[in-house]
Amino acid sequence: MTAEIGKTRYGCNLQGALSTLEAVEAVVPIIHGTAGLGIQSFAANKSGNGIVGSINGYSVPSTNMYEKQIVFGGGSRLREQIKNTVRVIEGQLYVVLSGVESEMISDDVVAMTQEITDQGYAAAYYKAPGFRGHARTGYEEVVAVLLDQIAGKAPKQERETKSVNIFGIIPQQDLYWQGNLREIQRIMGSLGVKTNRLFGDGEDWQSWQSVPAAALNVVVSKWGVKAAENLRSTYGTPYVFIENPGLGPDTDNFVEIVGEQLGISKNVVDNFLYSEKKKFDYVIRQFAEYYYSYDFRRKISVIGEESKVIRYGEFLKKYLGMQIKTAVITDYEGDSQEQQPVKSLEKIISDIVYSDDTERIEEKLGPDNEIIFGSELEAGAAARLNAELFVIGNPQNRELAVSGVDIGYAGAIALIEKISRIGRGI
Amino acid sequence: MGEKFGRHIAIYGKGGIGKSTTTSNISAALAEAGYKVIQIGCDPKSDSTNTLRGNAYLPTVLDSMRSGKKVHLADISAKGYGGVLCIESGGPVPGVGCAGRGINAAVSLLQELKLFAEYKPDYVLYDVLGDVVCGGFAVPIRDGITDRAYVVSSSDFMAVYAANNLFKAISKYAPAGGARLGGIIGNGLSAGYSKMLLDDFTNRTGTKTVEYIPRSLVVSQSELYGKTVIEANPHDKHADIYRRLARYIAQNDDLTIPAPLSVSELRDWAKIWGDRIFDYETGIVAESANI
Ligand SMILES: Nc1ncnc2c1ncn2[C@@H]1O[C@H](COP(=O)(O)OP(=O)(O)OP(=O)(O)O)[C@@H](O)[C@H]1O
Ligand SMILES: [Mg+2]
Repeated sequence: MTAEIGKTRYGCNLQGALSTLEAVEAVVPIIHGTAGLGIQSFAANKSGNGIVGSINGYSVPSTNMYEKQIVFGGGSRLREQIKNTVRVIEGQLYVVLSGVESEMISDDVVAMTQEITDQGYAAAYYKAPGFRGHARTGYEEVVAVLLDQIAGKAPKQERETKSVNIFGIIPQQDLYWQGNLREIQRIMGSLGVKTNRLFGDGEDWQSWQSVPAAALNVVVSKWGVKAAENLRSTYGTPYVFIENPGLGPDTDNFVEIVGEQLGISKNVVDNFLYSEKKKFDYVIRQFAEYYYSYDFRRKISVIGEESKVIRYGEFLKKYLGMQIKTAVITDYEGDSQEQQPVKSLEKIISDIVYSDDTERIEEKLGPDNEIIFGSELEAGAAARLNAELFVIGNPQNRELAVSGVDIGYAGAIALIEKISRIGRGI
Repeated sequence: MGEKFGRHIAIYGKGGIGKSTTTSNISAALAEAGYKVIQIGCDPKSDSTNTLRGNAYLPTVLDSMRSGKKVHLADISAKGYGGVLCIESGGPVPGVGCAGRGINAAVSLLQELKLFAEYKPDYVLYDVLGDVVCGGFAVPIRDGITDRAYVVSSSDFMAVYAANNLFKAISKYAPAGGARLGGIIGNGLSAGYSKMLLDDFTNRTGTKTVEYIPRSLVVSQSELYGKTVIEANPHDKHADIYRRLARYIAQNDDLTIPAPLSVSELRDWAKIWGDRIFDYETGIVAESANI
């Protein structure tokens, strides 16, 4: 079945890969494509998220191909760009990303990358034509490229029994990627576990070198599974895929599983969760006044990535007593009609839709919705339904999301604080 | 595209089937008859107009693009036999870049240079390479660049197959203002059944064979001299065949949108001819005596 997409919400394959690389310091992306390719991604990220990394936006090296290079091949233009890049930008790893045009004409990016590898630079390539995959596969596959760069090259190191890597949070594409990585790091820290966030401030190519040393890989969305599988087969590192790392008390399950895997004493885990729960209850008590005055038992719909929909869905239903009319999952692969609904979601929501097409999503939202949890793209639907729009994902342009968080106990508290405004209609 | 100067004709056909030979002889015959002719080779090999120019070196349109300097018509064209203006689009070296886009770029560049407005030709012939493997090679029959196309074909199955593919491209673009089909030019026909096979194919696809050019040593010899048959062997009967073909193409306005066969129809059709050919060769069918 083919269908026209009204408005899509995610960037292309190259955009996902570029956003990912930009979030690792000292990794230098080199774009092989037409002028404006990198700027588009920059503009998209700029609209809401902070622009991260020292090599981003206008400073990303790009071959800016034009017709001559399409007709005669862009190989030598790429060679020139790579050569100049290593001369002017100091990096620990250079990654060539080839876009649509260069892939259409099959430029030899492999050989061009090999040339600087032969000169002793650490370099890799990722063929990222926008017509193959999307931002999420861009993350998935460029992470594989990075892991491949470590394999056999990272210095031999002892496994650290109490350390984890986090996979499945997509830099710059997931709205609260920085805050969420930090919240997981905080939680792990409370258990005495060291966390390799791998992306964001202070995370550079050096951090990636210690990926093999982790005792466990923690995957918090389906987009991190491949990386974890890869590391299990390469280094024998076990992994846990936790579909719902949770908001508020739902986090307990996540913390208990990781704690058990790492052999953290049950006492330590319980004590931590107890103190978190106490803080959470303290907030809930403050919220109670609002809750009853403004009646938060609203009819809502949740639109977003699978992991987000699960997290919000469970929390809003369980702890705020909201009634979920429709859940729309936007990050699926393949035909939207042939998706198997997520088991855990089926228990709490009867109407689960798979679509990333804004117009189709709007059609699916019933008239009795009072709050729409989604992205800026749902503004039209919310207005039409006379419902509140509560933005929980990209694209959005309301705030600079640098410390925002929607995972763990911190996420739940932040959410309650923000949601309180809804009652007052502001 | 603005004002139209001259009749623009595209010649297609399977690789090596005789497109360049045939096109050059048509150009030569038209020039001999007093017309102003441009022949544009749309092929990275850039050998379309060789026999019109005694194999002399001619920079291609895309060579000039590669050098990045400002292009002048004089640098990328040469007058050949009978004053035929010869142009080669050129293209990338084999195995890199995109030849299809190259053709597109070359044709655009010629339009920017106002070639047709300045030269005011009576006829412009486009000799387009091989199979229409991607959009780029269909450029000359799209966007109103040419209004008619001919296909060179022998009676070999693969040549007919390529012709059928071109029919598909024409039938796709013609309704939106693309070129229509003038017909098939039979070339290199030597077997007794060749004419009948081609006629049968054109009948089934709603078109016609406009000329039958036999295989001939004269063609090979002329090519070795770096000349067209018209120039090297003007009195040979082959030269007259090319003249007749040129006259036809110059005057014919009977253009059609062909009805290409589907893959399975083409296969079944080929099978029938497979059986018949054997019969012809063993002399069971008397008709072959007429050829
Ligand atoms: N009627 C003919 N009799 C004898 N030889 C011929 C005849 N037509 C073409 N040839 C020869 O066949 C060869 C290929 O012809 P030509 O170069 O014209 O084909 P083409 O279709 O232009 O090929 P390409 O697809 O490579 O451009 C040439 O050597 C040419 O002299
Ligand atoms: Mg040729």
